[in-house]
Amino acid sequence: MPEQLALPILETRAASIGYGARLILRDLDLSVPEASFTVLLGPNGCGKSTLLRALAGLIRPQQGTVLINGYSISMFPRKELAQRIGLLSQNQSAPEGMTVMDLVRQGRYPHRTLFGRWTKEDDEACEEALAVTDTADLAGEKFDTLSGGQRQRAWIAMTLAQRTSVLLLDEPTTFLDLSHQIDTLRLARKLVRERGVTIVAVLHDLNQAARYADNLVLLKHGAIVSEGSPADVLTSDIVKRVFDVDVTIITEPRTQAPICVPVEDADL
Amino acid sequence: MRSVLILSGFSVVILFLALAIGDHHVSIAQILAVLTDSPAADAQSIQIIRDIRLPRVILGFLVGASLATAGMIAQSVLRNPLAEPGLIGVNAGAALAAVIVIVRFEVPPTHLLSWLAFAGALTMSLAIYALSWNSGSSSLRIILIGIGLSSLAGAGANFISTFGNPQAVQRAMVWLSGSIYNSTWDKIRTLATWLTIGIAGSALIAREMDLLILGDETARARGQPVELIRAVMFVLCAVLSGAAVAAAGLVAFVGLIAPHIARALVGHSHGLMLPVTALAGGLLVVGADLAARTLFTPAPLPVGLMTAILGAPFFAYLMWRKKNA
Repeated sequence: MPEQLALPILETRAASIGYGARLILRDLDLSVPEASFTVLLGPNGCGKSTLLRALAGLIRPQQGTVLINGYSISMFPRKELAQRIGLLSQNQSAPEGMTVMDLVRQGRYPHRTLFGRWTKEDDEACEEALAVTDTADLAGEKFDTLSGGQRQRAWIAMTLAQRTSVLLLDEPTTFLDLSHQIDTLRLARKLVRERGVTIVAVLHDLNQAARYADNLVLLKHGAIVSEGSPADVLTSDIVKRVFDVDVTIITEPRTQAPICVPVEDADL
Repeated sequence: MRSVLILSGFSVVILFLALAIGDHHVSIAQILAVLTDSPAADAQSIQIIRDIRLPRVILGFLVGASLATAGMIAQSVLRNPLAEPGLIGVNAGAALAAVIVIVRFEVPPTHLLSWLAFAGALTMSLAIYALSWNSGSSSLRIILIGIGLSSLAGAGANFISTFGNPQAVQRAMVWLSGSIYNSTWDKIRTLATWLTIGIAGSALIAREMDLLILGDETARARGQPVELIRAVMFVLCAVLSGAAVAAAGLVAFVGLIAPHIARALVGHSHGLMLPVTALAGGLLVVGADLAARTLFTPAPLPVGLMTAILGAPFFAYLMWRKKNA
């Protein structure tokens, strides 16, 4: 398991994170190995998105710290942090009439100075982001003419154009049809394997997570219930504890990835 | 770029028409003669153009450009295509200040009136910004508090009007209805100064606005100091529209319409939108003023009324298109 040996690139240490008096995550210790694909799973409201926002430096922990490469992220100026960490939030919206290219270009913001010109590198980053998300032919299209899946891919392209070594994706597969869901997960894994990018994503589909991720982190009520490789974490006992659903775990014969199948009472 | 050229050409035509047409028509040759200070200009044309129509056209253009730029900023900072500078309290603040001054002091000197209206506009918009601050600002809070405070100021102005001397109240109403008929070079200089500052500031943060319209979270995750940018935009919007209100009273809808025209012509990039918005706004006011003083002779309408007559259907069209999008 190479990811066990890799150094943590992102860490939270005894981090308690919340909004005002309301704590969402308590005393959380998490380390994300470099060049790995980590998926956060858990019931709605368990603090997955809050954790991503804290990892991106958008909320400060009320106690504890968040570290990148061993340094507290609060030490970095915002733009410098944005050169290292890219975040794709949930439920994005772009103004109607804006084109896909307009949006993707905004991903270059942290790399530009106040009076800096648009460079060749900016162009390359945008073109590459469009190409890998299969949105190049949509570049000139206006946002209000796109389907939900196309919009989502445009947002992913914008985040990729930022060219960060860490990518945080909050439900990147929502609104996508199955083939684009798989494309997105494959893309994530490819970025990890080929470029050494570290990805932390929130997903809802346990089986897709088990198939594509290196690490799973299962959260409930703001605490980590279990973390580790899919085979270690996805047991019927743990899934029952986290999601309160009875499942049978079977093994996919070719990849040995675990698959959860809900158990129904015979009389239903 | 072609659309910008067409718009510029169109502006020149409108500006010349606005100089030529009126109670006394002046020929194009005479206009050119006056503008170039040539000896061919006759005394009457010199007087009409230089003292009456030219200041009026220039002031109208500057008022329109200021309101339009302020409108563009308002729509971006409030992230709402139906927003206009009035939403951040500028109109209500200026109106309240003007009504107090006119009703209280009977005949205030014009420059004092302008300055106090400007001060009222700025105070009101800053109060709205301050009150909507709750460990950070949000577009929705600004809009709601803006509507609330504006109604309060409107009620205050009405209260004063009810008990004021009817003649003074009448004067206040005329001043408020938005007119540029008593344009002076003095007003032009003041507004031109504020407009230059406002446009230069907007040009500096054009790129920041491009990002901010995508939402606070997205902008912050790209490393933008969102609160700082929003505060700068708020001040620019207040200064631009406050200066316009101080110069001409309330001229409605220009701030709403002009940015939409610009977006339709050049897209969403603020760097491109800025000059087109300003040009379109200037053109709208000069055109509306031309229509207001020629179509309804012998009783010319205030330009503010005319832009409202033209603007209301456009607003309805925007709502309709949004509903059917």
